[in-house]
Amino acid sequence: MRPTRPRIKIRVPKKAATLDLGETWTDHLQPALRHIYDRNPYLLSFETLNNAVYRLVNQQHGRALYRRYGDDLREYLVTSKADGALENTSGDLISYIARLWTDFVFSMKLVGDILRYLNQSYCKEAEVASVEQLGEVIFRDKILRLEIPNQVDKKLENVLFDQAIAAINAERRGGLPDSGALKKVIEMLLSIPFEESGLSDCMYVEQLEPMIIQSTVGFYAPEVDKLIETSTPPEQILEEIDGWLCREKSRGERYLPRSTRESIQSVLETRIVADAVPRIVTSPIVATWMEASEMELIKLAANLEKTTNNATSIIVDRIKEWAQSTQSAINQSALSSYTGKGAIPIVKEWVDKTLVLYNSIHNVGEEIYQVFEGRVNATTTVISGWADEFNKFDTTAVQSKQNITSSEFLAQYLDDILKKSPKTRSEPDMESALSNTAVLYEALMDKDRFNKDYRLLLARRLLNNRIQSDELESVFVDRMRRISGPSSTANIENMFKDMQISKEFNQKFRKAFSGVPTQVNVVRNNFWPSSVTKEKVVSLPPTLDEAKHAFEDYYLSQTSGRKLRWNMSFCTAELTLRVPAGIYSLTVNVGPLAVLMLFQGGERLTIQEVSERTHIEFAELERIIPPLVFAPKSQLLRKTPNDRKILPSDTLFFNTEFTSQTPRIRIMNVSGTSKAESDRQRKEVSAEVQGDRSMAVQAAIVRVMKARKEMSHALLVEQVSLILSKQFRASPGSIKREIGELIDTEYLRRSEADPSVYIYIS
Amino acid sequence: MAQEIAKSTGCLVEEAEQALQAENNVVRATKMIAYEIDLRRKRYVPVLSPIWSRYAPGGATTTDYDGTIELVRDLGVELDDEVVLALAYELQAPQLGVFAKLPYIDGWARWSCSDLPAMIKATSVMKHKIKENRAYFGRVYRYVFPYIVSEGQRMLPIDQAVAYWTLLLVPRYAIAERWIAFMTEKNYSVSRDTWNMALVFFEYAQNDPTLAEYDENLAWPAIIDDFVDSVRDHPS
Repeated sequence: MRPTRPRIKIRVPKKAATLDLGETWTDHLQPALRHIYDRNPYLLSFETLNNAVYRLVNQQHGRALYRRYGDDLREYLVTSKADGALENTSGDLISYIARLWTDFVFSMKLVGDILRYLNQSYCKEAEVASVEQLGEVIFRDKILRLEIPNQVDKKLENVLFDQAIAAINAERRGGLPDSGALKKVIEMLLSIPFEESGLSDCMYVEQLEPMIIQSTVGFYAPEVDKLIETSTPPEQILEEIDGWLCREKSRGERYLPRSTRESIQSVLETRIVADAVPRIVTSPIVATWMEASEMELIKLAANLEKTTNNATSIIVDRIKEWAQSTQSAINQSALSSYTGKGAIPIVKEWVDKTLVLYNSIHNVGEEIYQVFEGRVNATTTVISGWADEFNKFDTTAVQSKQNITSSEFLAQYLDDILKKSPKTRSEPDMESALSNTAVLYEALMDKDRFNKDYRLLLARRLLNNRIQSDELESVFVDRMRRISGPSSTANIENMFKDMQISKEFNQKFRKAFSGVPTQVNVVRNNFWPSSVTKEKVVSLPPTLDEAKHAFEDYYLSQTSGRKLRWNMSFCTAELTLRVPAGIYSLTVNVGPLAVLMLFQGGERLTIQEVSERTHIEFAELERIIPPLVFAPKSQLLRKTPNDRKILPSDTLFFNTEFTSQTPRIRIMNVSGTSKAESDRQRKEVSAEVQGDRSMAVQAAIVRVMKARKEMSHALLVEQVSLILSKQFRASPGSIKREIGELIDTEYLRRSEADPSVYIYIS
Repeated sequence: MAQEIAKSTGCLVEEAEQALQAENNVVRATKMIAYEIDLRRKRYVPVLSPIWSRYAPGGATTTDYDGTIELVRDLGVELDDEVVLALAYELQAPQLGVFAKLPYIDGWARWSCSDLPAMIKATSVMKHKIKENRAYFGRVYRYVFPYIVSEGQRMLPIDQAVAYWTLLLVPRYAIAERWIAFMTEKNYSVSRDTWNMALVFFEYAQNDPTLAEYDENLAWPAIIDDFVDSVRDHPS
């Protein structure tokens, strides 16, 4: 027999016993969860519970289980926790909620472990929140959003938020809140969504954060008011605000999220600082600071203001205003004390004060520029604002009926420095004074006018031998050239050149001529002021007349195509005077010279006769004679009647008793310094400036149009004023007038298609 | 460009402009116009010469004072009628009170008039046109300045300018009387640019009677800026 094979019995696997949902829930799961919620130990192992959940979910009970879990949690919170929470609304709710939440989070972690398969399977498939997330939402609705009885529209969360804000504000006042609890609550709010919809952010961002930021303004704005109302010193307020900014930064680090800290900082800056700075840094305060050079305070204020991120700075504006009002006062004071004569001290005060002002605002501007890291162009704003006021000098002068301009003041100031003997001031000292003054030249609008005024005084220095140092003369001219370009100083350089050429020419002439030693300066018409180049003839004593003719002949023989015109008003002569009291050397201008020469033989002449013989008009004799008759040091002539008046009928005769303590006597001519004379000269300069400007504008228009052939009015005006800006400010109106002039003279015409477009007629 | 063609051929500027648009080439446009004028002259010189000789006896090429008066009277209009200025424009009268033969013939040839009745009819058309057609009025107005200004002069004396403004502008523009008063008070002579721009300004003022929107930064002549300032300082 064959051994029988052992029979293998194949059994259908026994179907796993189905679990009853209701039974499992009430018997196992619910008690387990409740124990977890209550933080009691529970005997059933996680494995058994996990297994049950696994099986239930696999039996398609996921949905029901999820619902039961939620319902149960709701019921639990309402029955076991809500009352406790409500009781704590009148006390320290933050600590209470913080503790409650810490427990709840722990519970949720355990619940999550038990219901893990529900999360992994059902929640994913059905696309619903995980059990932990659902738990948080339920916590929110059943605890945080509990209606507080007897109070309309007030929920527990409102009390919580209020307490949080109060805690933050208490800390701002110096208190020490429980920052751990606060931190926990904020963490909680950060993790719970504000609404179920996927679009909403967490409760913190949606609710508490805006309140915190709002409270910052609410807290600090009254603080600022209080400080200002109690007239706290501004520097103290600024330091206080500076302190707030620092403390808000460090406060945040302990419990507030980074984004909130940044928002608080920015709301402090844009609301509190931006509002406070203009109120604190008022015009009078800025004035006090500027006058006392309180650089540190200005920088502190600027530092605060920098945080507001504004494009313009109120501090810079106030400094500008201060600079303007200070300059205005300087102008006013100079103009009110100016009388026309002996004005040098006033001129010096005006320039010196202006320079001090300029330097102080320039420094402040640079410092603020540093503070703002270049974002606010403080220096330019302040300086250009100041320059506007500086240039108002001329219009203010007209208003106060003073016939004077800033360019004249500036030229006089420089003249005064340059005429001083280097003995009185050290050379480097004068050099820096001269180059400092260049900043005023730079700010000056009417540079063309200044050029004329400067050349007038330079001509006097050159022709009266008052040049002290060529190096010093060139210091300022160099600065002018650097600021306005070489064309601005060409005239001046040519004036120096003429003097040099004259010097060399005279050396040659002296070798050729044996008469009275003379020195003649030949100056060219187009480079020198018209008051210098205009003809002025005085009849000379024979010896000088001979020398004059000899020079003329010699000069014309040495040059070709030249014409000489004589201006004798700049002429001086040296005389030797022999009187019983001794021998003296006299330096006189040509006018007094001609007069004195008439009295060599003891003549007695009336002033009328003197005028006839010298061809000098009586009006001029009125200026020439007084120094010879009345000045104590040079009484060379006597007059009958012996009074202070000068009349044509008065008789003059030589003073034989003349005596002097010094062997050298200089007789100054009063001409050129009288008010009428300088007013006339000023008018001439003004007329010349006007004429030159009109030419310059036309030249600029033609230059632009020649290049562009066709151009619109607006563009042409812009271009022309740009070209001319280095010489003077050409107003649109004046440019327009010159355009009209050029249309009338057919250099330009209007386009037929558009009358605002000009066409160059070649 | 059009002005140069007009100058060299003796046509109107508008004709030259049209020709330029059609030909888009200066040389061809000039040739075309010269050809047309030549054609017209061949036809009209024989017809119109006898009529012309009535006003300029003895073969004169320009009219004298009497001839001018007669020429205008024959057309049935008064001398102080503004249509006389339109006539001067159409017949390209070289200077105030003078007509010249060739432009006279060219002018009537453009209007296709070969006898006096046709000319009278054409004149009444001009009268209507200058009233109704702003662009045409502008052309006549701009022509008036070179027409009335003395030979070799750039500026028009103010009283003469005022007389023509009174004739041409006062009936058309509300602001004209104010302008005339201003110019009379200032006693400025009037340049061609001022003359031309005055009309542009009056057109502008039609839309801005209070001159509130007037912008002196635009290309208006300075004299008009001054006028606007005075109106703003003393609004009537």
